[in-house]
Amino acid sequence: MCYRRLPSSDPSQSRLAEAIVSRRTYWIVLAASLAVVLGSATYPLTGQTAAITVRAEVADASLSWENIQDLVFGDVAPGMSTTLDSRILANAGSFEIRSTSGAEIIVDVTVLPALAVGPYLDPPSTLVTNIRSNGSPEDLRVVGLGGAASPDGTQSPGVYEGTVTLTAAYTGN
Amino acid sequence: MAVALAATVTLVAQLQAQQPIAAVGSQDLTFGLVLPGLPTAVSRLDAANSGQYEVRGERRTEVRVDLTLPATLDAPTGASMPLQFTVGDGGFSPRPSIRSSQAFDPRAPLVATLSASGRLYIWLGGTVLPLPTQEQGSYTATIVLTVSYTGA
Amino acid sequence: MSSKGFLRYLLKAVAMAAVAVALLPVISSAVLVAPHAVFIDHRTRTGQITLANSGTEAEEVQVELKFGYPATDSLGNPYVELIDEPGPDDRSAAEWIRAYPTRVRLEPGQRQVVRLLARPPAELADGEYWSRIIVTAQRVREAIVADTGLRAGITFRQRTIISATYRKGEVQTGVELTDLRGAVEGDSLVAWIGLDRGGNAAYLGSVHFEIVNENDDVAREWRTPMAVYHSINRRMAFPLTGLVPGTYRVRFELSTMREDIPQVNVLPAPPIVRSFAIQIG
Repeated sequence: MCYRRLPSSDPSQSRLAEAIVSRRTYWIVLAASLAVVLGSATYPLTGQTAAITVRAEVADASLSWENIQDLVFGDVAPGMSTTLDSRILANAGSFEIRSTSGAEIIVDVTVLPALAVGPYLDPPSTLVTNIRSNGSPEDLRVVGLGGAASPDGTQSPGVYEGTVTLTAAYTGN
Repeated sequence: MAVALAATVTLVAQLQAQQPIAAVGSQDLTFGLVLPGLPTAVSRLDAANSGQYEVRGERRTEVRVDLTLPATLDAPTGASMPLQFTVGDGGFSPRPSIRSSQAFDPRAPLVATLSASGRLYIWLGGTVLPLPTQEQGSYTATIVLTVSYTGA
Repeated sequence: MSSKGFLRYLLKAVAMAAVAVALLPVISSAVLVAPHAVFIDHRTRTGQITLANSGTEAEEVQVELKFGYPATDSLGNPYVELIDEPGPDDRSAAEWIRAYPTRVRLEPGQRQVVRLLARPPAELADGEYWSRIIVTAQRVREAIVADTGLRAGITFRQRTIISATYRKGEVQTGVELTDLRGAVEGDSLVAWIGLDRGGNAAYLGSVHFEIVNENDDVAREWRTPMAVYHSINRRMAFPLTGLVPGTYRVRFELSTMREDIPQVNVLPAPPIVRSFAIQIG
């Protein structure tokens, strides 16, 4: 857009200039107004906004078990021993224990004569573990359990089930 | 020319003589205490905990409502927790009655008509999905509602 | 062999275990108890815990209270001593704190608040009284139809033991260090700590070990929570792998700093600081 300064000393030129400006203004106003009106028919007018807050509080202290998988021997044959290796996760029973950072938890398996956790083979059935503060995986302990089922040659057909009690005790208080 | 211009401006002013539209967030969406690993949902019909908005504008006029929905709640420590909205998590009604509200999908724009008194009420539910390892603490997020006349 | 005999044999035979270094994607059973330490004040006499099932199958959950506290065995290992019939000198709250409800079926995703209501004896002296809250969960299982074959499996019953502490009136605690020894055994630092509690409330604190080299740089450090209800004699072992041979000092500090319990619930007591030298390599 260019602007021209018109001399004001000539009245006829001044009226002409006013007329030109008025006409231009008219068209600009009209075009802008129509644009707003027509635009509003197809597009929303400027939106108004409002905000709310979403709030949640994650519990600060808890102790949880997650039984990932039972120890399932499946079909076994009389007179044949079936062994499940706890290192083969498809077969092993496994569970996790989680708690608050810094908590000390004792894990105890009452029936099984042996338990291994972490990189250690720990013959006693009790594990003392500290839940660490470095986030997963250090805030949980994963335990895998394996075993053997050894039915004798005359074992009657049927479903045989055993239940093992796992205890996680908080010892920090 | 001046008369013509004045007439045109009057015409436009008449076309635009709608009451200004306004929206206000009247209640936060509150999940309260959530437990690690346990998804927690708030229904849009939960009067005490659902998020709530009120829209005011020209009576019996169509408006479009857009919600900007966050995917996570965030803690001051930088931890985040997934937040989910699904088809029926939004509700709207021309009356301030949560029971009479009609469900909508808050992830998509809502086009609705303001009531005879120029009101529209909106409720919002959702689900938080804390991980089993979710860090303890307070988590927040902001949901922005944008409302505008459609011109229809 | 009878079915019972086989079951016994099966259980005895389950003797192998090893590391599960990765997780399977589906969690069939998961029960959460929050918080892990409940504090009940004599003025309100109420508390609560929340149970939640974040697994994919329903769980039958049972809640019971039993007197008990952390103790150490002759090898210095911690355990929770549960006492079925506490004596008059035991500071047991298990008989007069009730849980409601005590049995609940938790569907997947469901949670349940269990209220704890205390009805202490009228002449209860000031001090702290203790109980353990035992939450036992077992998955609800459909009946398995026996067939002509032979099938065997073991399921887990999960027991979670947390603490309940009831405080009345003026409570104070303290601890006396009766033993502190440390020595390098193989690739570990083995420390023995003897502690006697004072006051009328349990001592809740933590021990902090630092191994510092000759330049006073901290080479290793560990922190472990410590709860003293009566007397304990605790053995702790810390790995020294990776430390270059040489002379180090072990700094020991016992304080009431705790990560896992809100500090408002921890009674104050003066810290104890000691140090001793060890030789590595």
